[in-house]
Amino acid sequence: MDVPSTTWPALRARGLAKSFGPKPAVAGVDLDVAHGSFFGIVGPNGAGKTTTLRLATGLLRPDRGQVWVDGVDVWDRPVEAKARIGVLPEDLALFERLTGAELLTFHGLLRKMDADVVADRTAQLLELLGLVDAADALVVDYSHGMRKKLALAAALIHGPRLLFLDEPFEAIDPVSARAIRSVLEQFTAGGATIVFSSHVMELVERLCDHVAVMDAGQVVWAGPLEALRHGRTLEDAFVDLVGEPERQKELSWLSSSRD
Amino acid sequence: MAVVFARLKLRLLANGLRSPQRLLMFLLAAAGAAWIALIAFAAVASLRGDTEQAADFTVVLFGAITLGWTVLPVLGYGSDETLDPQRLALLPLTRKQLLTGLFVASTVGIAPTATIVALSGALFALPHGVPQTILVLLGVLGTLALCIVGSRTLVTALIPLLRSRRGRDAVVVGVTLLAVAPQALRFIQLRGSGQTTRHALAAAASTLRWTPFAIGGTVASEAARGHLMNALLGVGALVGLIVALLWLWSRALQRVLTLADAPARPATRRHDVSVRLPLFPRWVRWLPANRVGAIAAKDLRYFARDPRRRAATIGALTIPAVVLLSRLSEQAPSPATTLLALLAVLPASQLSLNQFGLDGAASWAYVASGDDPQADMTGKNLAAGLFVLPLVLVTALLFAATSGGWSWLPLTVGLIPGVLGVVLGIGNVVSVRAPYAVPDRRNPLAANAGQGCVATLAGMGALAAEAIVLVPPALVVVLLVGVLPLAVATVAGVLVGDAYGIVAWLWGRRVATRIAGARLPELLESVSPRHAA
Repeated sequence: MDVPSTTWPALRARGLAKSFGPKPAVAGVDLDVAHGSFFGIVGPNGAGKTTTLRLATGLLRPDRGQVWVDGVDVWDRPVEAKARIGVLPEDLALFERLTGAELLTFHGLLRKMDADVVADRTAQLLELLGLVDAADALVVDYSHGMRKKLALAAALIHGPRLLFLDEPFEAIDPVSARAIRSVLEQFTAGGATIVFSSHVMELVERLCDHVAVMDAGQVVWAGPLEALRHGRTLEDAFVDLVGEPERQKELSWLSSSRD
Repeated sequence: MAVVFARLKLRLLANGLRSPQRLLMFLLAAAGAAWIALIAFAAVASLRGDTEQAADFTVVLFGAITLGWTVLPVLGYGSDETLDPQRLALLPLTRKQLLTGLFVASTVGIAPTATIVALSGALFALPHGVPQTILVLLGVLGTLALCIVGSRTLVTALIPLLRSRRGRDAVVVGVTLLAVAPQALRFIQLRGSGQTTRHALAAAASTLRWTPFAIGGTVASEAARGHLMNALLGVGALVGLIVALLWLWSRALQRVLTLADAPARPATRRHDVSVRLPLFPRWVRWLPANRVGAIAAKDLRYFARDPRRRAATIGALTIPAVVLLSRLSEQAPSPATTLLALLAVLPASQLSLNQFGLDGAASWAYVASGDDPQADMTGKNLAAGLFVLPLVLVTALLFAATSGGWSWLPLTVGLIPGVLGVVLGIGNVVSVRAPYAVPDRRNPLAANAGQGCVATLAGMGALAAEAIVLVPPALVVVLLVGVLPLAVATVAGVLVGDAYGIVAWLWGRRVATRIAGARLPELLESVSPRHAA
């Protein structure tokens, strides 16, 4: 039974909710991500961005709610849904005692791809992300930027149509960031969809066409980037939406020098 | 300052008990420690009136406790995060304050309490007068101080080694070997020693007496024997030892707090493009190039590269090694004992019991790539089987050679798949029923309280289940060997045993697949150290 994907968005979530203990991390999230969009999820720390991505990718079971990828229910038909998506997790937990080349081969074969295709794509991805020189070194010895690039390669190896990236630009050097960005732009140019979370506003502003703003486990605003900005910078729009904590009383000792 | 540290430690202990699971593990650990401490206490105290034996026992007990304190924290059983001096590096503390504070914090907890209970048995068994009592008390308190200072010094001195990945790997393997070594030594030493407990005790005591480990016990025992001068000498040596260790500890602390981390060098090793699928080690290129083969190949790579798995393997090899050594010490082993070589299958059990926990947070790759727990387990079982196969074969050859049991070799080798099937089948079920996170910290010396407890419980449960499931085919094989000529019994036994084992494996895999299939995300949560904390 193949669902006509034209009537479905690339990703749809309805009423997603998840609590850890008494505290709800995600409290009823609705999302629609159109095909071919570059979709940014922004929000302060603890807003539920990572949890939402984990719920949507089948890594964490929601308490309530449903997610569809191209109309395929992630929790009812996980194998089909997961074949369409690639994931770059936030914690970058990779099998780090493999070499870079071994890890990509491993991910390709986990995806039940043909061995020859895996071998070809492994070589191409290593080349594309500038990891050829480190291909036979253990991932445990990689720098943070190299890990991110390798994890991105692992997420792309099966040619997904929808890519989930959790904080892809967090704590990496500008050169790696540029390499990752150019790969992502190439990826969306081919009509594929990217959902990514970040709190680097400048990047979201530069890359995304649509954004969702999350706060306290809920989506407080979603739509085209321009509609949110309204002529302001994204940061100003964001702070207006989420609200700034009440300004503290001035700490006089902080500004005066101590003798 | 000391009070602040003691309160910090108590607060951290209390905060660590907020989740019911942690509380349960803490209670179990406390109950276990109390049990052991009370047994040690009672064992010494019950020797009251038999000064000679009580004195010897005191020496051995004090020596064993101090040795335990020295080795166990390094093995990851006793060191905790409170005492990580690097956390305090930025506070304006003098080294003396830091040393005092860390020492005081170390005296708070289950282990020091249990130690003082166990040691104080000597107070009841030994003394006869005021000077003796004072000396025994000095021996007890000195031993506790020695335990704490010794273990902290060793752990602190090892920290610089842990700054590089290779150093950390080496430490994990080294300390495991250290833990296994006494087992082997025990057997070598016991060979031909058919003495009574009393004599063995006296012999052990005389060996240990003036070693640094037992010196506190020697103070107590010499005092009880009335050799007050010797006891005073011992006190002097004990104090000297503690002072020397404090100095070393202080030096090591200075080094730890001022040494920078080695910079992470981006590794460069150019890709050898001639290898098409680099994941597969050369000798298993024949594995299928699919999910099952990839997981088997990855696990085989990990047996060689992952220090945690290496440690688990070394630990698991102890039982077969001990059996082998004890058999070599027998005069004329029966040829039928060649069958004992099948014990070398046990490491496979050890590796499969928490097979997803050993992968840790990286297990998300299995879930994200589309659920197929059956393939995952098949791959992992394949790797574990391939890993132990050479081991069992070599052991079987050794056993056959030493006992002249060549005619038993075909039966032994033939039964390998059967035993392996049972062990892996049960391992699969346990690994999805009771998965636990193996801490993956930068510092392998820091352990998660309670984790050892889960591991022990799962391991014992699995061993019991394996024993029970193995009884019926073992009985059948014994019966066959008893009534039929060996050659016929071999064929029949292998057929029956292997059929049984394969059914057990298929059944275990099926049950485990059903359990895992319904709760893959939950399985992932429970093996990810970050989420499990």
